[in-house]
Amino acid sequence: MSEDTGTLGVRELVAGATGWVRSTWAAGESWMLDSRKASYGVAVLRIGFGLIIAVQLVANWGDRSLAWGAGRSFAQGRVEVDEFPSWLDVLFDGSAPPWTFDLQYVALIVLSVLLVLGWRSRIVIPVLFVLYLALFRTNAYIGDGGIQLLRMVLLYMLFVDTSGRWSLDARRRRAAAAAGGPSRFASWAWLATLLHNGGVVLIAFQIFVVYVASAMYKIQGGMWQHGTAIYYVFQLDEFSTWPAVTEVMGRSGVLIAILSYSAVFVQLFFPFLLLRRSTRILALVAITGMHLGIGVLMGLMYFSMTMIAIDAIFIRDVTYQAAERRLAPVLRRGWDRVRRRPRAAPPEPVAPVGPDTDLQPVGAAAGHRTEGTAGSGGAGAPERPTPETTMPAGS
Amino acid sequence: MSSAGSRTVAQRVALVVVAALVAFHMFSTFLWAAPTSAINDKASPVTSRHMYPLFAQNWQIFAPDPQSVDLRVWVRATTTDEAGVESVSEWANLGDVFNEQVRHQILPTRTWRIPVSMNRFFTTSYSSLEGQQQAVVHSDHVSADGQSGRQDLTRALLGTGMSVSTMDAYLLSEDSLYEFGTLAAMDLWPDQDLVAIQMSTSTQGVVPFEQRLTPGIQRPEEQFTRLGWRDPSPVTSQARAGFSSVFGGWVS
Repeated sequence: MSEDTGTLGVRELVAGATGWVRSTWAAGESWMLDSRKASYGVAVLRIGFGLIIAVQLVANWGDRSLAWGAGRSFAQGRVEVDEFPSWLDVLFDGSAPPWTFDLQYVALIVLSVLLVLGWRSRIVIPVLFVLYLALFRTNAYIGDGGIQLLRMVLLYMLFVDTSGRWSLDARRRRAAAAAGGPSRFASWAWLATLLHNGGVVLIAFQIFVVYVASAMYKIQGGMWQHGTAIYYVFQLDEFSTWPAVTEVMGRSGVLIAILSYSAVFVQLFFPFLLLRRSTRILALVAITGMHLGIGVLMGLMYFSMTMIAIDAIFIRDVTYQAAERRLAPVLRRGWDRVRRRPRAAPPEPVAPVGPDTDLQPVGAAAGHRTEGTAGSGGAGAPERPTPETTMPAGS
Repeated sequence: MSSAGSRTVAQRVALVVVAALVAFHMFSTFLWAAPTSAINDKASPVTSRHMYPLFAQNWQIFAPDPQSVDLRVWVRATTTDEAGVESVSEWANLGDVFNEQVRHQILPTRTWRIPVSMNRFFTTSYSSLEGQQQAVVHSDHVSADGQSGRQDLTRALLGTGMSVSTMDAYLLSEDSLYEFGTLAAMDLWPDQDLVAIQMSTSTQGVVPFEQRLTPGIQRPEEQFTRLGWRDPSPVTSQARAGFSSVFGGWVS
């Protein structure tokens, strides 16, 4: 009797274990192969990166010749920065005529605008990557983690379908699908999906490493433990972009402690806070606030914007879709009006586009998602638009 | 088993390969970025080769403790005016010039951290010098022709028993510092002819947190590492034009 139960127990245990392994494997397979994850998030990442590069290069236009052009001679060949291939030195050559430098600089701006628009992203991203790498390695005295991070994530983006949404590529694909005729690559779409999801995992993990590793270092430091670290950062010439503001903030020990502790804890727990919707909203709001604070008060805006753009992948597709549903009609109306104006001679009164285009805070749009909205779409409109519209799923 | 039929062998194989590569990259990334550990010691011969240089990264941001000293770079010059009268300028804090450009800027110039980075780079290489070698670089090496001062410096450094490779490594950072100073001096004192350049780095601590509200509290005294006079660095007209078109605008 007792032996029987024992055998049965082991058998059940084994059956339970294999069942669990099988269902976990199936869930993993489905996650990696059945749909492209964070399809809107990576589109926002693409748009964000394009804007960051474009804005930064335009903002530095006046200083370009000292930063990376012929005026960088004091840095040239002095500081060993990396072991990237030496053919990269051909680009942004400091001893070439200045107009060739400017031409490449402008080309990089154009490429980053194309990245924003999502035009031929699969070609634009690798070319942009090479030029970006080449520009920033010309002067090793200029650099921060944001440059490294953007470079690495651009590399992961080579595998990701970043222009599946909100892009010219997506529009072209839709038009081609509407014109009929399946894509030549239709039977390989599963592989693109697999690579996309692998790339998304790498981007997510990369940002986790940034936060968690930096928190692991911070918790070793006495200034972070005693909540005074932010005060010391504020004291430096280097990070005194708004000295009057940081001076006032630095007087309040409590404020400094709250800021110092929250910086450590939000970073350390970031991956875990993402697991549940309520804590995810908290994490994203808190970390975005932290980045904006660092960006404005310490002059590290490009670094901060890079982090914010990457964090955008953690907002779910349904949230972006809800935002799109609310904003698209408004934007379309505005666009139609802009487009019509040159043709129709009588000037229309300026439409109140502004107040309607209120941006939703993170997560708010998802909260707004109701059955009513979906129902009003008619005929059981699916919550998730079929990914087949952009690229047919294979097999 | 219902899902088993819906996947092809090719899909399964590709999935396993991609998952393995992703897992390996994640493992390597974590080891590279996290503080050292025994796992790192064992795995890094493989993982580091995978990470470098494309995925090299460092997230020791303001950690373990934020830097609590200002790092500065200073320059002064001996110049002659049109009448041929020689004079020595005041010390100019190059960090201030750069910091001024980003004050109240949301989208700051990327050039702003050059002096701080340069201080770090130079200080690292200067600290590797021994006492006698440091004495050599603190002394003046200038020449009447404005060109052979550097030979004098290298001879003196080799005279301390320093190897050529160690000296070259040091001189990379000193040359960089003096070329930066020379370019800056040309704009700081534009109507003068440069005869010699002197550079200094400095560090200055901040008021400790506990004493921040004490009335009349002063920062600790600034500590200078003052190098000797050198001949102005040779700069090409192109480099001069590129530097001056930006820096010259800031200081004029």
